[in-house]
Amino acid sequence: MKKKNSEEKEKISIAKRISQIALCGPVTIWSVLFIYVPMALLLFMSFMTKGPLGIIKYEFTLENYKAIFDSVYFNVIKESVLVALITTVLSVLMGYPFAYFMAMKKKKISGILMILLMIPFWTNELVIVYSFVILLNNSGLVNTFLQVVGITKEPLSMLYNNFAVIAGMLYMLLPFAVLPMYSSIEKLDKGLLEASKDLGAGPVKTFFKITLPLTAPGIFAGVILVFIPTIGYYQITDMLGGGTQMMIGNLINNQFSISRNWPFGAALSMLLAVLILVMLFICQKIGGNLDDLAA
Amino acid sequence: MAKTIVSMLNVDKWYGENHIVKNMNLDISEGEFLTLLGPSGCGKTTMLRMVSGFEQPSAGTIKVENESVEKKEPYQRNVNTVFQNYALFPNMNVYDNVAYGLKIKKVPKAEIKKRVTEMLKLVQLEGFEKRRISQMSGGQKQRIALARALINHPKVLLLDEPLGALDLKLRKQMQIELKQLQKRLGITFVYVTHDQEEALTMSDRIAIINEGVMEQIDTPKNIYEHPKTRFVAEFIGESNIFDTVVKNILEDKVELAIAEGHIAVPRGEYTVGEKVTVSVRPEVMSFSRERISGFSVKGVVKDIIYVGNFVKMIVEMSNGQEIKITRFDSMELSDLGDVVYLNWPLEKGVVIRMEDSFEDTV
Repeated sequence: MKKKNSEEKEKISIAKRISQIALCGPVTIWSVLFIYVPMALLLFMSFMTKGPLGIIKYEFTLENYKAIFDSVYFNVIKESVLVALITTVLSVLMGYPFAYFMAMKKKKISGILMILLMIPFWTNELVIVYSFVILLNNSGLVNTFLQVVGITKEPLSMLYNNFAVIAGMLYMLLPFAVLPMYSSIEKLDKGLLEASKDLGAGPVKTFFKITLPLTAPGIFAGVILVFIPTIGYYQITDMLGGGTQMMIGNLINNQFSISRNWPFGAALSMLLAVLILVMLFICQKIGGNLDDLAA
Repeated sequence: MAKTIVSMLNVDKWYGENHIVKNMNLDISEGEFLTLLGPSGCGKTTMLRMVSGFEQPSAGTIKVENESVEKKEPYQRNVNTVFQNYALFPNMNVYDNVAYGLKIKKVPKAEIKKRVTEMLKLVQLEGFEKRRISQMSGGQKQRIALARALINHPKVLLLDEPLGALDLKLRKQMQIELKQLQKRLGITFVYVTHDQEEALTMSDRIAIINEGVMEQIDTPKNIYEHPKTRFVAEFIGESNIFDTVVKNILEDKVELAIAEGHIAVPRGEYTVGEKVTVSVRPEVMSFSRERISGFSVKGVVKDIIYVGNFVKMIVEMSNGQEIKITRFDSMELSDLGDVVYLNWPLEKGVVIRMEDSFEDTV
């Protein structure tokens, strides 16, 4: 009797195993093959020496990491982090009011706004970037308008600089900032806002004491979703920065394609991964606590 | 007569097509415990929200301390609310929740500390200052919400079904605590509930609201013993309602015809043929095996229900109407299937004349 029981238990546990493998297996295999193995290879490569003509010499070295702190490269990294931070901050500052507006509207209206927000995703990235070029160049729509109206006499140089890069990234990534913020504002118990007003707080105080702290998890999620892609972006930087602006993404791209210095490219990729991990860690430290409070 | 602290003058509230509050006139005296009682959707919460400022009346005036509050935002009014779901701030601990109103008013820190400590003592939550809201139980949350509102010394405290989420035992305990607290502090409480027992237990006065109209406003005792309308009689406690027509006016009483047989009420100003509704509480109902002069209400005992602290007997009349009789002891009741004749002391039958002219009756 006892034996039969344990056999049955074994059967159940095998069935459970199989379903677990079926559910998680594909993802696991995918991430091991295409994420963890390549990452490990990159890590390995980053400690190797560059040989002539882009050949990798299998000799251990720390030179690649030392090279990062070379002022030329270090400035690129600084610039990248700065551009990514500015883009992130702007996307939160622009996205939060929109998310708030959307969350306070009736379901029907917020649904329409949501679709409007999603439209950029339907357009090919290249098309978007080229439209920015057309809009922002010296004889482009924006400059022509400004001159016709008489706000400026000379065309403003809006293309091939950080302004264009940030504008392009903002356009691409704003929805990623809005969505998590919308979801946390929408979930906010509006009764709490009434309670705050009932206790004598006006709209501004209520916003800073109640709304903002309670929707902070959404803001942090938006920050992560914008910061990570921005710091690695290189197509937008290439085309809107016009080669004058260099970011980590471009630098890495160059190491692998033009300079053929794979070990240094690998070291830079590792640095990028570390930067993202640091950002995640910071957000989780601050945002995680807040999330806990809000639950 | 205590002075009036809140008054509603001809207040109407429309939500689109729906007339939620209809020409409401209500005076609330300083220091009283007034309950707005009615079924859900009757407009009682809307009335409360118009006093707190979260809703604007469509017509009419609301005055707090003799001053119209029409142009005042909720945060400018000297009233505070205890919300139905407490609405405690989850991003703050117990202390900061209670201190919120004082911090907004920029009261000095030392004084805030003193007053919060006093308040927490009052609601028996000393030592819980640093706790998170999520760590508190329903009853404790209720007390925090109360403390958070009372610390601002409001002229009027509005309570929107504050005990709705608590279990029965805790509810009863909180009812008594709330009442004692109100007496001690002398603050005017306006309390919204759909629970008639709660209203009877706590209130100085009860205003019964039905479909946006005030049916009756009076002390719990008067409301229970002298309901003015059929709605009040049925909503408060249990009632046996007889729809009758005046049949005979005798020297000492008036005979009223019911579907089969008749009942009687004391003499008064009646005309033969007039329609009169009579409400009789189950506990004053008597029955006998033989007919009793003056009454002719025959029925069969259909059911006997044990309720705990009393026993309820259901008597079915020939027209199908069920009459309830309650006693403390089942020994005082009859057996299932018995034919019984019902009666009651004449003065215990409450006469409700046609509802459109209920103002004439007392």
